[in-house]
Amino acid sequence: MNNLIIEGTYKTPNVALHADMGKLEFSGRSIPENSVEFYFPIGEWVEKYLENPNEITTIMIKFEYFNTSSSKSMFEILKKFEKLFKSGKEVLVQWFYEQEDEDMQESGEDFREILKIPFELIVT
Amino acid sequence: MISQLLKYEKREAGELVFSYKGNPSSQMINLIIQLVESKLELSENNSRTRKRIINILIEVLQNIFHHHDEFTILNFNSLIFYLFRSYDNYLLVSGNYLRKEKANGLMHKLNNFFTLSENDLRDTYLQTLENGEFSSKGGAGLGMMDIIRKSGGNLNHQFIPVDDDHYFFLIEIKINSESYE
Repeated sequence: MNNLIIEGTYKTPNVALHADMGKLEFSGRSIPENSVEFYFPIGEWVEKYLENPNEITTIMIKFEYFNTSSSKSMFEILKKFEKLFKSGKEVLVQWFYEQEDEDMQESGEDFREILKIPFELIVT
Repeated sequence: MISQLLKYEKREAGELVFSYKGNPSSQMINLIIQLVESKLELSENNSRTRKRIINILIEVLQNIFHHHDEFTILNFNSLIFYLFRSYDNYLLVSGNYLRKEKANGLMHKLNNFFTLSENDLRDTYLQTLENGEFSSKGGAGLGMMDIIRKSGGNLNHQFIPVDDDHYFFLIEIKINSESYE
């Protein structure tokens, strides 16, 4: 399966999805007013990855700015991994935030509360 | 309505950081966010305050993009936006036209949000994040709740009747400067 690499812009994040290593990374800004279009191919890639996943999948999220539209899209993507975790594979979400960034910390805490997968909040 | 808007034009308290009157197109909204961010990079040393302002600004402007109705009267365009700085806080003001039905829906929602405690508002936010659906313009139904949460409820709003079919929705959000806390 191919890796999916998308370069970030002022409004959209850097995306590096490595199927071979089971490492999915999102960084930068995710503030498009309509996130559905941007996250659609990522959702499709994840669906395909879940057909033949790695034993261990690590999802790293390192956002500087993150709007509510992206929050919903990211939730939909992370939700897809709950089933994988339930099936016995190892799944870990690592949510990075800067010490002074209370808003990103709170977003991470929100996700951790509603997702049923291991979820680490990491201060950078 | 004009007098309510002119008070911002003539406001003497604090310094005007940025103002805009015009259409809330996607391009303009992005440009405003970039310009305000650049201005704050130069003038606000506290990165926590800077980030808080930009986070709220993004949600306020994108909320207008998701919900506004094209309508212009009396030389006031469909979006007004001001950012003022005083010695210990920022005041973010935005206004846009809404059709009556949409305004009534928003009034009802806001009245409900303001009766909720911080924890209950968070629970409602999480339920919407989990179970809500996207609008055709990509709104997730979370914007207003996010603005209330991030501003700590430090906001006022008004629905000013314009004619039989329209209201002007005006919102004022106070954001404390961390350096003065």
